Amino acid sequence: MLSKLIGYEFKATRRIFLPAFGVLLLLSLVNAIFIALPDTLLDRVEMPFGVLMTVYLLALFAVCVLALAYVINRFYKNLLGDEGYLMFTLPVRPSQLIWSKCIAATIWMIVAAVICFVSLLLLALPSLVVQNAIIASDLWKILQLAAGMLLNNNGAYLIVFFELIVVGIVCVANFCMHVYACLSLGSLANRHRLGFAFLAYLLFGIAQEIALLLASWLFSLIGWNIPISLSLDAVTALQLALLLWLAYTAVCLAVNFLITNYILSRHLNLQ
Amino acid sequence: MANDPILQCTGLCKRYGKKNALDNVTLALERGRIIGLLGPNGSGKSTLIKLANGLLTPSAGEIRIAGNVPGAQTHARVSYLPERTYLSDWMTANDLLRFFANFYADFDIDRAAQMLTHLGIQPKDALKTMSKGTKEKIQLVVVMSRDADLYLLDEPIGGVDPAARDYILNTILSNYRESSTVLLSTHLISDIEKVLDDVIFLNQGQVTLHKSVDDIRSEYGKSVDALFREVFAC
Repeated sequence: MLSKLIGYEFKATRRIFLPAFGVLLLLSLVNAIFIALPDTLLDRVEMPFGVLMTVYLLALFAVCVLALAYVINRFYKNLLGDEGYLMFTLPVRPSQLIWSKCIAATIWMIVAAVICFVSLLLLALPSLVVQNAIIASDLWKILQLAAGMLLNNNGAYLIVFFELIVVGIVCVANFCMHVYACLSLGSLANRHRLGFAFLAYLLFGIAQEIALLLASWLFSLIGWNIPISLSLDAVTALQLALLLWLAYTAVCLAVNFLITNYILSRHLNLQ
Repeated sequence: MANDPILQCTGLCKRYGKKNALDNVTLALERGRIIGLLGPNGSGKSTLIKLANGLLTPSAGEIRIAGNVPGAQTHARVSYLPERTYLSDWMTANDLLRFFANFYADFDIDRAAQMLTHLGIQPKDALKTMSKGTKEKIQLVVVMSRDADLYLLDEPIGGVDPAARDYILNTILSNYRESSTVLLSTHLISDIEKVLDDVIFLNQGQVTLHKSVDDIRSEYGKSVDALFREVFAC
């Protein structure tokens, strides 16, 4: 059932995301062509180029806002709004509804980030390739060097690289689940549900700051002489730090899920 | 088990703040009956149906469908028509049929397609281009195209013209299984009285009457509509 729900989620949202991504890539391509023009020619089309560049920046901003708005709106409208009358009467568990939303939102946010990166790369391409071939060859060398580094040291950097990717994915999923937890908490109120959800978001933020302050104060009291072997090299220390970060984010993700699932399973009150 | 009530409430309460929407409701619905859930606006009809679907959480007491608390298991056996439109605007009528066929094992997609054709609705038409009345009819079509044990229909004839009411009632009567139970909430009693086996009167969150239509006629010597007007006279 989870795979069916995820499929339905993509079907419902691709008609918004795919055209937005297409427009962004098209705009970056058009702007890249302008940038590739010789300076004398570019001076003549300065005006349309300026307009197109502004539109491109707005589109870039819009894609970021779209991904963020999607996380909030889709959960709120499809589960806590009128459409919830259908979704919560499907023969599926609330946890499956929550995960389907979280997985789809995480994938869309990551795809949006990749598309933004690719569009910026497209924009930078003319200055790298067309105007200066030496820089292009340098870029190739840098890529080769980076690939070599990743495989060196028994693949230690490769592990760091993959850890970074996993941490990134879990962080995005945690962000989505955190928004869902806040929206679910807001749904407990009889009125002004979005307002209460925003309040919950603020209170979570304050609680997290206080917890971090307390933790740093505690460490300053007991000192930093934790018995970790000092023979750790920099890469291993980085791997360990990333693992700790991953564990912390995974715990946050689990807590946010438990809050959301508890409210939607035990205290659902669709108005 | 077949003789167990399909729906059972025990001391069921639902409060919104200080207001009691349902107050200590205890009742059991038999299988194979068409039951009218009748009461004035704000009497708790929709609240009871929402509780049976797990869309609300009881403040006290419990509600069970075929012995189970509302959840994924009961959703597979209950077909629910809410009093509002729950359709996603981006879908076409065809998308909706496929969605129901994907999630409900008891959904008869051919029956639904036939009913849509009979209504003159094009399968490729987007739901956002349809009127509210057409959307309500589509909802009724998908809900009645399931072979469910219990149909919970919340105000199915509430906001439609008399001709559409007849169509809706005919659709309900010609599509439910004999062994299934239909619980139908409304305050338009005269239109549905002829199809009902039993009635439940709800007033201010409490069940004030639960009898068969035949018993009401023989006991009170009047129709359900006349009794309703008498009981709920302002």
